[in-house]
Amino acid sequence: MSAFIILAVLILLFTAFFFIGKISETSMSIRKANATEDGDDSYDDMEYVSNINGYLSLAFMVGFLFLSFYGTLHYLPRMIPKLANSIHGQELDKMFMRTYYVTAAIFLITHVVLFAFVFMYRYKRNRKAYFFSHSNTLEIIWTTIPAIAMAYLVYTGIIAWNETFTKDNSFTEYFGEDHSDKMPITMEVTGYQFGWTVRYPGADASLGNRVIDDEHINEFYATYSLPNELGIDWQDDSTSHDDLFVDDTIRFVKGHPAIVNVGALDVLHSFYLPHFRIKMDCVPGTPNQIKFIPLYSTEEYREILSKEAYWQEINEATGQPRWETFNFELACTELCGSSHWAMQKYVKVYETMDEFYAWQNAQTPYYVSTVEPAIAAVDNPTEEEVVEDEASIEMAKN
Amino acid sequence: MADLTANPTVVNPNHEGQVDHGHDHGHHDDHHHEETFLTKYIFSMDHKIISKQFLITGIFWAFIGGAMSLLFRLQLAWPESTFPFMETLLGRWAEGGQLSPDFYYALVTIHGTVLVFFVLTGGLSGTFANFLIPLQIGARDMASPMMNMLSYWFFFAASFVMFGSLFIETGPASGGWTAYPPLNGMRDIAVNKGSGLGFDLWLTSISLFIVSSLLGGLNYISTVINLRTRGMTLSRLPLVIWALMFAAILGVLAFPALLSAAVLLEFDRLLDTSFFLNNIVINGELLAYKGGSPILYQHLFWFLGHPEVYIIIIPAMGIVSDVMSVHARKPIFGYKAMLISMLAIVVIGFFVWAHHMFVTGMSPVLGVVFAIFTLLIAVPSAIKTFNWITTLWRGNLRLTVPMLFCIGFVSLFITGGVTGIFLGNPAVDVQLHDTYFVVAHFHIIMGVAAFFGMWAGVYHWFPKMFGRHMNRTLGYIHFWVTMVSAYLVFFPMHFMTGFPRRYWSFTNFETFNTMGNLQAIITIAAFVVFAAQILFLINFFYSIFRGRPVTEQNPWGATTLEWTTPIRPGHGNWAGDIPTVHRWAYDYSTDNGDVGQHVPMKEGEAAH
Repeated sequence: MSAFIILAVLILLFTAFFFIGKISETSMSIRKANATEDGDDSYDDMEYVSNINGYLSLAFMVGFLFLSFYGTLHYLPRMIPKLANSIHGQELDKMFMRTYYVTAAIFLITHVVLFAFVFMYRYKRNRKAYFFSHSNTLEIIWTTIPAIAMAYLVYTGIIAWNETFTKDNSFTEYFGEDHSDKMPITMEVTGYQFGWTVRYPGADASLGNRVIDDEHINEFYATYSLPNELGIDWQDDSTSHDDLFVDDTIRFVKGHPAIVNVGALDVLHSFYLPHFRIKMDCVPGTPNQIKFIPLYSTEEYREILSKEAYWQEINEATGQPRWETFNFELACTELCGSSHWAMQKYVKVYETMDEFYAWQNAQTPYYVSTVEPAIAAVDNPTEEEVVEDEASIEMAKN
Repeated sequence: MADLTANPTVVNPNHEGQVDHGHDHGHHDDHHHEETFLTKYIFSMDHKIISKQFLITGIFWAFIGGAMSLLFRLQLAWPESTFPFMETLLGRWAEGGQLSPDFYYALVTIHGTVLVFFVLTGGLSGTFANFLIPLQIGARDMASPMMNMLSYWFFFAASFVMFGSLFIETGPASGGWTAYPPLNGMRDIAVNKGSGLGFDLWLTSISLFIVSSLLGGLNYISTVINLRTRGMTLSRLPLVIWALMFAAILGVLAFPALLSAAVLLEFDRLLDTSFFLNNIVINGELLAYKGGSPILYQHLFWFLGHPEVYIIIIPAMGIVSDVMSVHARKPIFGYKAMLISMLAIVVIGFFVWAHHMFVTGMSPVLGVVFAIFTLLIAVPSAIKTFNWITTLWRGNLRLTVPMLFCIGFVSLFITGGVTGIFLGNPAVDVQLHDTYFVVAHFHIIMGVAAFFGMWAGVYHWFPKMFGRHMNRTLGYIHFWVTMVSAYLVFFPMHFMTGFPRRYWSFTNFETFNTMGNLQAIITIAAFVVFAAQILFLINFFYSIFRGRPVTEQNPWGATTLEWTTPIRPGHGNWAGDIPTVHRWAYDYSTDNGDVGQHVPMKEGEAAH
């Protein structure tokens, strides 16, 4: 019923518009005819419509410019918090703001001039357009000014870009030569449909080797009935034995470099940490690496947000102010299939390395919990299992 | 509409000094031979009919693509609501009235594909290159009318295959209009519903479209180069012809790269080659693909993909330049600067493709190179913008419907252009890449702005195409509603900076679930835009058959050659000889009034 009403209203609306169009066209020709008949040449249809549209253009300009700046301010508190939680992220944000000031000025000035001209020079019967075909001086001016502006933005942009992506693993540029107290946190994130496998090294601080071949993935799976998608060399490389696999939360430590090796199993994914200004594609068969230094722990960041009105509002789902339950998040930004939108994980930044170690020590390595038993079950079966096995062989024979 | 009694030269039907053009064999004037509906309207070789075929097919796809966007906008605005009509319409793709993620991605994919390729490439270049090139350069038809007809029918075949793919069991392609492997690189492995038969059809359709585009493009280029009438030197060509030729050159050079990508991708899918695939593990099992690179596909794709946006926007720029000049009653400001900047965009446009790939892990040094070229393109773009604005300065602006669309185009070009300066800078792009900021940017600049160029062209040349006027009031309503609500759709997307695009729902994330009713506002505005287009559709088709007949040969008072043809030109365009050209296309408001290109120079008159 409601669909029918909506449809009827729409049809009526379109019919109404259609007849408004027809009638105004007819009335225009009548007015024109009358004016000609009376010998009155003061009526000019083009002047009439240009006037209306000239004023509409002016109104549009005011409304549009007002809404675009007002809207930006209005939604600013709801945007991703503008405080970047990484050293390079703050550089990138400065670059964003630099670009914003330049472009906002261009946007504002050109729009005002554009619509002012539309209004000022709207058709008048007695006006003759000014024949002005070219001016090399003007062209040079408005080639040079944008060129200088772009040169400035490219130059500053490249500096920010290089600071982000060409630093080496020693991080001496941030910490000086002696940074033994700034132990980097290395980790590996692998995207798959639809989630992330996150692997941390254990106490030995190094990740176990991966060998991507038939033997380490397919044969291992077939032999031990345990998937080994990453191709970790469980049997010949003992550094893998204390590796930790993380379920729902990725962990970093404030002020300590994070070195993230990103990859993917099946299709492209993209590792995106919005608050840290980190984005790197995960490509099957091609490892990528991204490095950054978080600046605030989760607790500190919540504290900072608690001063903002939007974050003080009560979250209906939890009944607490929004800032209290704030968490950094990981998202996927490369279309990867039907649940692309659901590849979420939380990110936690610890205040100190000790907290990180405490968490690390409380975990059971995957090798101990899962891999070792699976290998043992096949390679050194217990008596019970042998009996079971023989029984099943018997059964198969029969 | 325009009162030209003061400038009788423009409509002067006496073309003094006309000579028979070398390619004119005279028999074109003969309209008496038998023409059936089939030969006149379907398998026509008349460039004007082919142009209308492109236009109407483009309009068809614009409505399909637009309607698709409404469906997925509903899901984005109200992710937790159900719409029973959707189940009626889509069946199992929207069980319970909620769009399934699979079909959401299919809609997003097909929306992007058809709007970029079928509407804004086929519909825009196909329509106006076919219509304007022979009429404005003074030719009876295209260099190869047969190739031209084939160009349309390949486009039709591409459309047919794409449309058919909407109805197959596994659904149409759903891996994004960029069709990246490995998501789209494996046929029989169920990584994605739309990556099976749906994607085969998608590749087939795009390949057919590329053939169409190449046949058309080669034809446009050779026609402009070879068939210009006497006196129509290159420097007297209207800017829109230059623009259409540049777009054709871009297409001819760039589309083959996409074709090669499509063919190699289909090899990977059907023959298990590994051009784009390497070390893929699915369900715990390592597949046999070895040594390919998914990133290589992106290089090939964007080698077309970026010039493609110029293939879309350059014809719109050309149309706007010329239509604006006519209605401002002023020459376009800085013809040569406009031309050089367009050429600069064409050339630099080939060296910027990897700015779509800043975060793929490619060398940061490469990022610097592409950043420099990308921001360099802002310079010619700025020149063009300032020249348009200066064209308005001290004009006598007839604010007709096509003129308003030109002004709207400039506004959109600025708004969408400045956000490109953010995205072209890799340092800023890291955060913005693949987020709503990008969606806002390209929809404004190559979506809405290109559409505005197209509408300016349709409203301006409609009297020439169909011998009737479109209803002006409906045109004004169409313009203002579209202008306001299209901005309402896309401007607020800038506020969602950093929110990933192509998300079926944001409810899983605290970070992206903060915007309250903004998505709903956008969706409502999208419905209003669509409604305005229905009004346009009514106006368009009603006016073809019942619009006010054109009574003046040159209703806008333009100077270009198409307005020297009869009101309803037959195949061959000019009943008599083709006019000779004596001047550039922009002699508006000179000391001698507005002077058509076919009018000889007066003694002592200086050429421009």
